[in-house]
Amino acid sequence: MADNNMVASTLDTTQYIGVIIGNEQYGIDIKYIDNIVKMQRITRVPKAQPYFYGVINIRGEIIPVMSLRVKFGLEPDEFSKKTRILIVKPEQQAPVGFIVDEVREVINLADEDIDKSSNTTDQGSFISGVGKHSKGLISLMNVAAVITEKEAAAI
Amino acid sequence: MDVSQYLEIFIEETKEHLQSLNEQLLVLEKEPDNKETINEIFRAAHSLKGMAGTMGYKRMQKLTHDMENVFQEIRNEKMKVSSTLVDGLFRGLDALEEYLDNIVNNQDEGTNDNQDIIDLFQKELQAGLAGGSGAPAEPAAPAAAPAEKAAAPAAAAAAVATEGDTKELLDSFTLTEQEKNMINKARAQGLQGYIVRINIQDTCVLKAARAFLVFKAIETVGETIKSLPDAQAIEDEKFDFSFSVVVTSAKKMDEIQAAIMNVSEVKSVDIALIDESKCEQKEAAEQTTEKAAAATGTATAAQTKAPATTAKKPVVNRSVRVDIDKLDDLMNLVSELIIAKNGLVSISPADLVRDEKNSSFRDQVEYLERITTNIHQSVMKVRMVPIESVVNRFPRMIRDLSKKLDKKMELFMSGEETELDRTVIDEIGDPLQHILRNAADHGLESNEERIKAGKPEVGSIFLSAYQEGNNVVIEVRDDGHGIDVEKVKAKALERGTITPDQAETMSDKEIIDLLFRPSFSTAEKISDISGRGVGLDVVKTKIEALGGSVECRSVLGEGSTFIIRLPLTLAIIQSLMVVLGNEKYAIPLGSIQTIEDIPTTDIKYVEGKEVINLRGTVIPLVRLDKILDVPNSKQDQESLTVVIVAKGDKQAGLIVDDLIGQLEIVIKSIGKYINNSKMISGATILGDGEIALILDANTLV
Repeated sequence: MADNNMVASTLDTTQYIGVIIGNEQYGIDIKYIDNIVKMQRITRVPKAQPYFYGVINIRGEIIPVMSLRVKFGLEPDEFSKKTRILIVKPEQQAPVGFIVDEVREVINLADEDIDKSSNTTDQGSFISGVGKHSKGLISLMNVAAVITEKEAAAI
Repeated sequence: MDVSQYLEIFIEETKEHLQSLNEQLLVLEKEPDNKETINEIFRAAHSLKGMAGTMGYKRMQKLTHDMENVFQEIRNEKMKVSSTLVDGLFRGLDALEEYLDNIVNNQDEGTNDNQDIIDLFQKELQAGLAGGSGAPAEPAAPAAAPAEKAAAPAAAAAAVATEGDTKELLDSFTLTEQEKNMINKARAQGLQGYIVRINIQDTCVLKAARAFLVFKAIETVGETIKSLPDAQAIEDEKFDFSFSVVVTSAKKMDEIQAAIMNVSEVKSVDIALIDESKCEQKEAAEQTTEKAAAATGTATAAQTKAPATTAKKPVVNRSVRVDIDKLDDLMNLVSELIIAKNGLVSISPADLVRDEKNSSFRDQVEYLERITTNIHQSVMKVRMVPIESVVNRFPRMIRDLSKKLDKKMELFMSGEETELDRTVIDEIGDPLQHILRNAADHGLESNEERIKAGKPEVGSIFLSAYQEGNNVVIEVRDDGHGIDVEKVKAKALERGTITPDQAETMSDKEIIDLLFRPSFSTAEKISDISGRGVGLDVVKTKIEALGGSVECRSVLGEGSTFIIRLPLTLAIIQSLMVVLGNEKYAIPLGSIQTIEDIPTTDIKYVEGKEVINLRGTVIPLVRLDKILDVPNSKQDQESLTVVIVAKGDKQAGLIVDDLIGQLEIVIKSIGKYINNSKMISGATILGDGEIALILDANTLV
């Protein structure tokens, strides 16, 4: 029986990158992550949405960068040594960069540890569920919803 | 094997044949007795039929077959070309195009039988034959066809050669016991064994594919026992322009020959019967010279004797078909190379020239710069396509419009060989078509009006293309009644597009420009050809999206001209790099006229807006830092750096902090996520990896 459980859990596990935004921890499905880069100079684009800080150059490709803090209605970013840009590549779409305060760890979550019926957070649809792991709760980000045009509903 | 791998060739060739049919039919309509054209049409229709049949597109084959029948009778002078017939034939071509579209989209020809068109052909055929039989009572002998007549002497010469050929053909094969056995067995079943030599046209590019189609054709009439060279070698294209096969079949020799000749690009087929004692076979070779001109006979004879040393080989077009994706890849790599080169240039220590090491470094960098520029130009040239591929469908369109609108008109084209980047070519078709339709529908008057105005009854539309510096200009001119400025003005007032005050002060040119505003159509009668008010603004948007511009000139009573200017290339441009605050921007060099230093005291105000008087011209100033929300700009100095840009006749002065210099930049998109104001047309990566945005000067004027 114990063996069976082991097999089942490795099969139904999804890996998430744990990131810090404000004082909350979020998880982003690892299959969307193309690259994680250090903070670099961002070229401002005039008249862009406020949460788009501009564009960066990743190996010859021009990638727009958005601030998750601004998008989630938090205080604007204060860049530190720990600030990272996650290059996220959603299915069938061009890549986009997410600025996060810190990248923590890779978290394995089994399906049964994810609570999908969650509208407990004020970001509403930006969250696809809440994961429970050894160190506490983690909000799982709905990448497609974050990228689409909508502003945070709570603001 | 599966025919799908030849689908691409099939589609390409069918397109070519259809285009040629369209062109030739137009000629035929004007000169119904042009023998050469009739033959050309017949050949194209025949090849189409064969190709469609081989690929298994039965409906397409049926339709072309019926068309071919019609041409056959015309060719034999048994019936005349009538205008209803030409209309029917054009409809037939449209139906074929529809099949082709279906095939392109879902590898299937669709289910439309186009029975009405086929019926029409048959009716015409009967009517034509009945009416024609009274007329020139020429015998139906095949010799009546002029092509064959011309070819006759050569064919006769060739026939002598083939006597020997057949022998040689038979000798070229040594059949193994097993193969002899198979032939004998087949013979016992009432079949016959043949040796067939297929000669492929020496202009053929994909010999292996042709050979495959030949094998397919043979399968329909018999069975292949052996081929020389063997099947593998044929598949690898390890043969000259001919190969031989041993076939068993119940069909007669000429039927087999006809089946193979149906495959396009087959020049001729030699065939010989294998009789029991193989070595003393009865000779029964034939030569078909249907496809080629007079020289073919002799050429074939020469070729069969010594295929490798064909003396009078026509100059083959030395070209290769390349997938456009591969070219795009190459273009991207060249772009990367230019970025890397710019990187080197930017770190080369310009102020240390005296040092020997540094100066040789600079020499190398300059060398590299030259090479990359040359590579770029070569790649750009490869991507250039003559504009012909877009405009060649227009004569047909004008003909149809002429019938539909019941106006007599003619299209004159020039400069079809002018080349444009493929990306531009792909997009320019629709706008051009729109302007031409406009000219035909609104521009030209009706026949009666033209006669009344003392103009020739037949209206003319001119389409000319030519290169002008870094631009290609396409002009569409008609000799119609031109644009009635007063009418446009009245309409604009009625619609509230302009106020009466504005109407007073507007120049004629500005009023004509109103036509390019959204939802503005002055046609009194709305037709399905044009005039729904969704016209010229769409044209303008599309052309501007390509980095081009469109303007209209018109003289009332004499006609209008639409002038489209397009950049030669889209991907890499020369630009001026400027500084605003801490940011760098690129302004395309093409739109820059001059750069001026203007003392702040020279700024005047007109209606509260800043202008300068530059050598007699009043030019409005644009404070880029304000428009682009640039922080820390230092534009409050005593003297301003002003970049004068122009769009058509209009000018504007862009105030910048500083100039960096000229740079060759690669245009990249900033993607769809960011809400882009139209001012930014893209971005580029500088030598140090930094990004600079590209300003679209057109939107700032």
